[in-house]
Amino acid sequence: MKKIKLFSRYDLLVLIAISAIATILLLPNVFGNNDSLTATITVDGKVVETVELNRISGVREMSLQCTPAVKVRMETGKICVIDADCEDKLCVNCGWLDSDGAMAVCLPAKVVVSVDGTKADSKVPDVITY
Amino acid sequence: MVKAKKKAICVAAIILCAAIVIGLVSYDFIKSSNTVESTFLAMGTVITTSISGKDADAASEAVEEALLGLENACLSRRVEDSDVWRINQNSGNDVSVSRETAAWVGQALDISADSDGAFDITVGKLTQLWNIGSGEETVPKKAEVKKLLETVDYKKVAISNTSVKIDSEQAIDLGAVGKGIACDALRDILAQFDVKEAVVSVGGSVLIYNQKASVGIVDPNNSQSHLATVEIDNQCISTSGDYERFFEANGKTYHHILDPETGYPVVTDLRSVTVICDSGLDCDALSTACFVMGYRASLDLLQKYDAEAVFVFDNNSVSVTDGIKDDFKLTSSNYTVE
Amino acid sequence: MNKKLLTQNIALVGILSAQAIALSYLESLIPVIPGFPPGAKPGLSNIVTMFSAGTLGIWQTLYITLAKAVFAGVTRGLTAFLTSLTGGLLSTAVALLLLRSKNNKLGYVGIGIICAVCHNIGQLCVACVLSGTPELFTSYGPFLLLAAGATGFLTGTILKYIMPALEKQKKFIIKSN
Repeated sequence: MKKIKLFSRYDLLVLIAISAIATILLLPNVFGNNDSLTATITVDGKVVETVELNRISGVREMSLQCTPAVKVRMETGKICVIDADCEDKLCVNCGWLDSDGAMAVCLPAKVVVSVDGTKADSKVPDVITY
Repeated sequence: MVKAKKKAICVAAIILCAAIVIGLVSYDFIKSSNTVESTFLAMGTVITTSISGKDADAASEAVEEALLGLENACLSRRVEDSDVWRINQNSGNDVSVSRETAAWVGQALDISADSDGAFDITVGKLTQLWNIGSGEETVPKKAEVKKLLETVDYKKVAISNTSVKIDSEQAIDLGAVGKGIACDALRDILAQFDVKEAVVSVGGSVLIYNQKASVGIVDPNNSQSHLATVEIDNQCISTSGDYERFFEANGKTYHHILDPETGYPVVTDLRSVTVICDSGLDCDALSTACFVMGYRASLDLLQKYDAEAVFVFDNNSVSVTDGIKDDFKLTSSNYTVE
Repeated sequence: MNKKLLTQNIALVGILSAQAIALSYLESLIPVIPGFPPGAKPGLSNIVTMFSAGTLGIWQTLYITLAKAVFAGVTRGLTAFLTSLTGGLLSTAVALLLLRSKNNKLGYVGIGIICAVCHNIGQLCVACVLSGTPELFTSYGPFLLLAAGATGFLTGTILKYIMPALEKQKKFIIKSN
């Protein structure tokens, strides 16, 4: 076996390289907002739209292709059903959905708007009974 | 030099083999920790499922199919030829139904008897009259309520293993326990698959299958938040409350839980009752019964069914039965625990 | 390899495996090092595998790696077995390549660090796959990388200084003429 030194100058390169890689990998953790909050809109069981709510700037409105008509509004970090052409308006009454597991449903139009987030908050229960 | 090359190839081959073996083992692992989540509408309500295990995909599909079948074949009051529809159409006669339906009706009647009629499936005619949740409700005339109230009597229902007979004036409504029945049926479906664990919510009646889960109890004043959490281990949990379905007329609020004694929405100091026990049907029936009976009278009934409960009162106080004191955690500062 | 030499090799592999296992056990007694991510250990048993990779051969080294993984599996379960095996194989392979290569320019410290990094990468991959959370890679990875830099420095240095002792042990068992 060849004689191996304790520390060669190439070792220094190795040290510098892993420090650099670690720093680069750490950057997005420090600067990026990695809270994700995804809204999923389904009509009659089919997903028509998934939106990353935290990436929305300003206001976005959307009319869904369904009867009765349903209209949703999205702002940074939240979504709500603003208008529905039905009797009970249950989904409109749900108000803003802004946390993991929040949901608004319009039964007549078969529309489900649900929000899923990374469960950084361990206090969020797995399911709600109502 | 050639020797060194050979060795390098040898090492590369070993790494490749190891990678393949580890890949295969890991694949098996991923499969068994595979979680399928889905949200869909069935039985007139929202179903959310989260199923983990090797067969999660197949089980998830089976669950969806089973719920549609359950509604159409057994529980629906409106779907023609469902068991409940035929029982109501042929009132006064023996109607042969599936074994399951007969068993569910029997189980519901047991709770009717134990709650002295506070929970009663023969309120069918009354719920039709009020029709709360349809969007076109009006307060019915007193005389009408009084007339239909006479049809309410669970003692007039006769069942055998495969048949159900109700009085000719009666109609039954399994709406109050339908979601719980679905939870029980889904537990059997899940058992047929290689499923490690699952959380299923059928419109707020929840089945926790083979796992522990933290279940939030909805805040009656705000449907988007919860007032407390309970740790549940392999049981069912469901809630009855005045906030679920209601309408307003002449400045008064009428909620959907009718008192079989009066024919009108229950007058109570409760906002909601959440019940935890092994059977979904029992959870649904007991939560309705407790809501009707009130806090004090409920405790004996709950004990009889080995069930635990959380009572939320209209003065924003909360009462919890002794068996779940340690698993209960208040999360909203708007409420206090008694 | 004649029969006698094979027997001697097997005996040495057994002893080295026992030493590697003893070192991993010792390490498991050390509480979480402040400032280090949980799960990051000095990796002292890498000293043994690196020695074996450099002075013995491929199969001897793989046996030691396997013995370590089996020990982890028996004492801490299947997940531990998989993480230990993946990390072990990856770092062993790299150690074999570097220590046996003719034009290696790295010193013990550099080799120690690269082995530790590979070990941690292997473990992290298994953790990501088993828990189904690839986010671990970006959230936990950088810290494990830095930890590997420190632990690799340590194991490489120790290896350099106990090399004579390990050589002596080898000569004591394998009596090659």
